[in-house]
Amino acid sequence: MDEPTLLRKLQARDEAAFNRLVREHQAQVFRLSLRMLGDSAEAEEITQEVFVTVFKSIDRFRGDSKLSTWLYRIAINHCRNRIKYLNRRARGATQEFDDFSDRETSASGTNSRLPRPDELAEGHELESRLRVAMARLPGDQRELLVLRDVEGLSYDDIQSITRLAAGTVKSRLHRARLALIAAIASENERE
Amino acid sequence: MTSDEAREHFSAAAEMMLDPAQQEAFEHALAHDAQLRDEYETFRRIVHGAHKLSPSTTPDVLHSVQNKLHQRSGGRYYRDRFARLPSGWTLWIVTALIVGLVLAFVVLRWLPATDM
Repeated sequence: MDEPTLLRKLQARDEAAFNRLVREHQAQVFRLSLRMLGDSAEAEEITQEVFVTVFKSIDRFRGDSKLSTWLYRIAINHCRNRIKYLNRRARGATQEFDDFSDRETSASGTNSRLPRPDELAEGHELESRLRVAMARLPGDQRELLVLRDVEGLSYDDIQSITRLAAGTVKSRLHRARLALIAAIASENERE
Repeated sequence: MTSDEAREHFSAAAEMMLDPAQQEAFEHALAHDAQLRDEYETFRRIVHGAHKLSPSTTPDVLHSVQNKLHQRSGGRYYRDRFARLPSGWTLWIVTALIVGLVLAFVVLRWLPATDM
């Protein structure tokens, strides 16, 4: 089924078409939510809410982007709201993260002690270091890293999802990557 | 290109987005600074390593979404409970119904024969 046909059926609240949409896109929404929230139960709940929102507001989708991009945008908004809620609930911990982020991002210029390539383990160990480091970054940096480096979306799609200008996406993404590496370096120094 | 300027190009270089002149200047800077080379290699490996962060399994949320829509719409959508069953259950129920029908057919067909 092509996208315009699927969209027409979705706007007519065709349940079979909606089932198909959920089946085809639930993995991408769950992956994004999991990387943003770092908790699979939260991610599953957000994934469900994303599709409920899609069902309710499909009439507002104008078709000026791909359906999958629109889904990502809804998922990102749900994740942002959830992160805000979780941060309010544990403001002390959030402040600690914010301080960390400011310190690490500014330290990640020329003189920060980055891990040498041989200090970076391959495979599962690198993966687990990345998970921990990414969870320590503030939401806006994590968002860009997930969209570009984990999900592999194009810069055009990221602009459409975040509504940021191309230059802003690139410069913020570069800073987010430096912050990620600095977070890994910081973990290395602790060990 | 100085080493500091080269660091600003790490992202573009890792994504092969430098133009030929910038790429040449970047490689020249790497060739003359071993620490910069290590930093870039670390940067590149971490950026590319992030692709591996996808979870191996993802839950099937269709059933939960259908139930939420059914409840929140006051029963307007997804009225048919059978259609809202998860796919695994649907298969089991259909199989059980078919087996039951076959058994009923066999029993009904053989019972009169044994009476005679």
